[in-house]
Amino acid sequence: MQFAILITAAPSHQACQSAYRFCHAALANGHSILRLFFYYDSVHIASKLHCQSGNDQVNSSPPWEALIKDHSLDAVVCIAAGLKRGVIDPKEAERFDKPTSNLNDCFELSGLGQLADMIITADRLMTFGG
Amino acid sequence: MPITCLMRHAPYGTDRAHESLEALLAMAIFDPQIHAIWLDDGIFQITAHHEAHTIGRKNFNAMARAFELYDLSHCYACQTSLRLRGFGKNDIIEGVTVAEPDQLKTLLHNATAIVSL
Repeated sequence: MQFAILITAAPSHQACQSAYRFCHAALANGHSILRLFFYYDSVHIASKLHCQSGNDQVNSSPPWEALIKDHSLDAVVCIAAGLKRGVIDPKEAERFDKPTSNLNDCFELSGLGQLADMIITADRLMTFGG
Repeated sequence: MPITCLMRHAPYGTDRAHESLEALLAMAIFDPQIHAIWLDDGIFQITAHHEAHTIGRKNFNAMARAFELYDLSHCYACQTSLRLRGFGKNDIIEGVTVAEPDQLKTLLHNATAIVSL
């Protein structure tokens, strides 16, 4: 089965861990993932500036990066939600005259059309943090 | 068989509902048959006579007027959610139909995808 994954929860929310574990399990069981779409506060997952502040803290970004790279997943961050929260790529940093960008290279900024497209195209949509 | 969006969050306090509506309107361009159901605290998004300027926010009623512009003609409000919050059909904006639980069940059953916004 081909899944479309919509993630809306902030990185600190359990729903992000659930989404990651679901994706991992789906891929391990022979399913495919058409696209990951990050909306609302979940866009912070795509920042490469996350730091692990202590040994017992869970860093929500690294496992996503490995999962996305290992399986060549299409990981899209809503551009409007990203801009609003300061998650930007070099192109947007230049456009808005910002001193730096912070989008992890394995993610891509794009519009809500990507959300509509994946819902229409995939066999099933899974929403985490709704 | 339409995409069905569940609008479940209160209009003010966070940007959540604002972004829900943006997603709904964007998806309406791709699926003209899209359905929207307001339920739980999402009901407050479609009540009339907001005075959002008093808290420095953009008025949700104005955004809701975009429904017609986007040909969003399948808009429903959960009757139970309305009743639990002390509202009736006269308290909500035009263009939204009050749906009873059985009708909502059918709408959800017939949806190709349910997007919880």
